[in-house]
Amino acid sequence: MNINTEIIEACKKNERSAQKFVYEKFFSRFYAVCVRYIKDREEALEVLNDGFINMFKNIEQYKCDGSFEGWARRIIVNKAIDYIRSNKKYKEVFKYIDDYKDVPVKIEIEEDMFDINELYDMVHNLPNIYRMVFNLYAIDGFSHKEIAERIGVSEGTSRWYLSESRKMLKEKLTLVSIMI
Amino acid sequence: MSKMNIDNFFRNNFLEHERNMESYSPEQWKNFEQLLDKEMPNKKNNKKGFLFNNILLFMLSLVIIISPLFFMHSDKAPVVAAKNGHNMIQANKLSASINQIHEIKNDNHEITEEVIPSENTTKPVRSDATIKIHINNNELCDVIKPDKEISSGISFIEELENDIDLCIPAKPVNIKYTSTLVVPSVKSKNTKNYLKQVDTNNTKKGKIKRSKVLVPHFNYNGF
Repeated sequence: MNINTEIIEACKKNERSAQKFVYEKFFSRFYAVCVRYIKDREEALEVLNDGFINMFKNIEQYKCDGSFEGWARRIIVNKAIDYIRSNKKYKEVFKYIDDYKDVPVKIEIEEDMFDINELYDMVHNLPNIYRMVFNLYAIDGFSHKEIAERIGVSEGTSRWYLSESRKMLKEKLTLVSIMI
Repeated sequence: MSKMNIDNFFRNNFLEHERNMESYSPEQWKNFEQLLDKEMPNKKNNKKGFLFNNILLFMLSLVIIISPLFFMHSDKAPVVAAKNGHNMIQANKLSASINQIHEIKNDNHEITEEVIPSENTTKPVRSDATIKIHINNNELCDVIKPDKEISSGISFIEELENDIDLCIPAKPVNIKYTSTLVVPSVKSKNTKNYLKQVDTNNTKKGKIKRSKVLVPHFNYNGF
């Protein structure tokens, strides 16, 4: 999925054809990202479009020195986080934990054992903050420091939420695998 | 069955799904483009808006250019509007003089000076004649269809006078008018003589010259 400098430059000039090219290229992928954070598909689409708007508005800041997709993905993820944090529906009270060491959780499992929709369901059924932290850290590669800054908690709190979400997911995976 | 890090398990599955997911449809772009047009308007791409703005600009310019014409004589000249028949003439400004220039078209008949409404005219003006009224500085009003045959120039003037009388309230108005004869399809030796516009300044009461068609100018002192 190559987005060359020509397309980036055209996007910087607010040219619709270039913007359309970028939108078409990344729509499906970034929509999946939004759906991971926000269960409601319509809300996810709204967040995705707002994310694309943000991306095109700030494309001047992209200096072509790294992956465009990585840069754009961060914008979409940030938009999803902003949406969750600003929406009353998703509001939850944080537990503040000063210091916590997260421990990797392992599970005996076959990689293709589960249907993708089941996995989405498991993540969607996590409480909002747990889901947000798990997605940010485990899937989108944010560090605890970045998560802490992004959602306004301590790194210890971020670690604790991650650890708890892993435990919950492990339980669910175990339960479903037994049923299978 | 192998032991897997739970983070990797989910990451692998989700990223693979993202790569293979196909949820895009052209409709998505159409909707997004509307949003984009609002958030990041682009003149070049926003043809509708661009066209609309230009039309708006054009209309505005037109209004600015034309509006002085409406107000130029407003302090002294009534605005006359006429529709289908004499009695539709209206005036909204008083105590002013009107120069009305009438155009008479009477296409299918040979026209002589007698058909022109004037004090000297004795022959009738056809009921299907088209009379255009102009007010000051040749401002064109609506076309008048007499509806009925006008028996003579004298009666035409009288009728016009009465009609204006009906429409203009209160103050006396001095009315001057001259006429222009336009005969587009008449083949007559005299035709060319009628195709000249009347010089308002030379309008002379009751006289008709072959080179100039003169309709009398008279004072209307109202009520």
